[in-house]
Amino acid sequence: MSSIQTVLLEGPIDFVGQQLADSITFYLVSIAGAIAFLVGIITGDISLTAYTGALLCSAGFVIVVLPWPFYNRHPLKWLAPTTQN
Amino acid sequence: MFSTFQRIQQYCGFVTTVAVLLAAAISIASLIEDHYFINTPSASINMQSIDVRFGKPQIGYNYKRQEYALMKFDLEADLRPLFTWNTKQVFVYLAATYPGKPYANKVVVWDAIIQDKEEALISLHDATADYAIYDVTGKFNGRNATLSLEWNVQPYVGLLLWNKGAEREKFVFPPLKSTR
Repeated sequence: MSSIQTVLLEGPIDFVGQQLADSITFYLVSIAGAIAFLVGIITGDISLTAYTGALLCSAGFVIVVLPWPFYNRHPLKWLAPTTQN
Repeated sequence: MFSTFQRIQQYCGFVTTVAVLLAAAISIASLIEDHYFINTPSASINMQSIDVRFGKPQIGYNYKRQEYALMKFDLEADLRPLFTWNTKQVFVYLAATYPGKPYANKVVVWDAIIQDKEEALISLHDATADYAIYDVTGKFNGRNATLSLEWNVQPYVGLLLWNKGAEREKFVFPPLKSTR
């Protein structure tokens, strides 16, 4: 498989990047939910809650799911190959 | 979270969880709002006239001819306080309660579905009831009855709220108007 296919279909990221993606998911989506609730209760319009939530979660989807370069800043260091007798 | 697919799964799963918690928060907030903050809607009913006639029921398979009551009424109601951010629509109806054996009878004579806050100011004069009252025994026998306004608030998310309207008007079923 070519490297473009690897990047698009598999999107691998290193372990530090995975931890970062997990944290971003948790904080971004929770805060999106809280903001959507507050927007709705302050403006008195529940459709704004739905739209705000959907907008923030879509932005989050793009940030978390796509394999951005900042997720690959700590690539795994493999040991040099040893010679076998 | 190694592959794109795994991240899609994790992310969408968490979004679903947060969406469910958000819905729960909105319904709890609505219950609190309904209990402590909403002013009771005001309404007044005035019954103009009631006729007891004899004939076949308007709907259903029942072919037996029996007594039925048709009424005309005035209704003034201001249900605008019920429309919060979480209110989808309000179902409002006028019900007549009268005694019977073995249980009391309750019949809806008029109803309306209100979907906007502007429509919630009801002002009906000399309106005829949508539905006639048919008794299970076929006769009214001049019983006492009470007409009350009740409403059901249907939210976007959360529990349905039923409210017995406090507005009542008492009346008596008159005798049969014309002979069969």
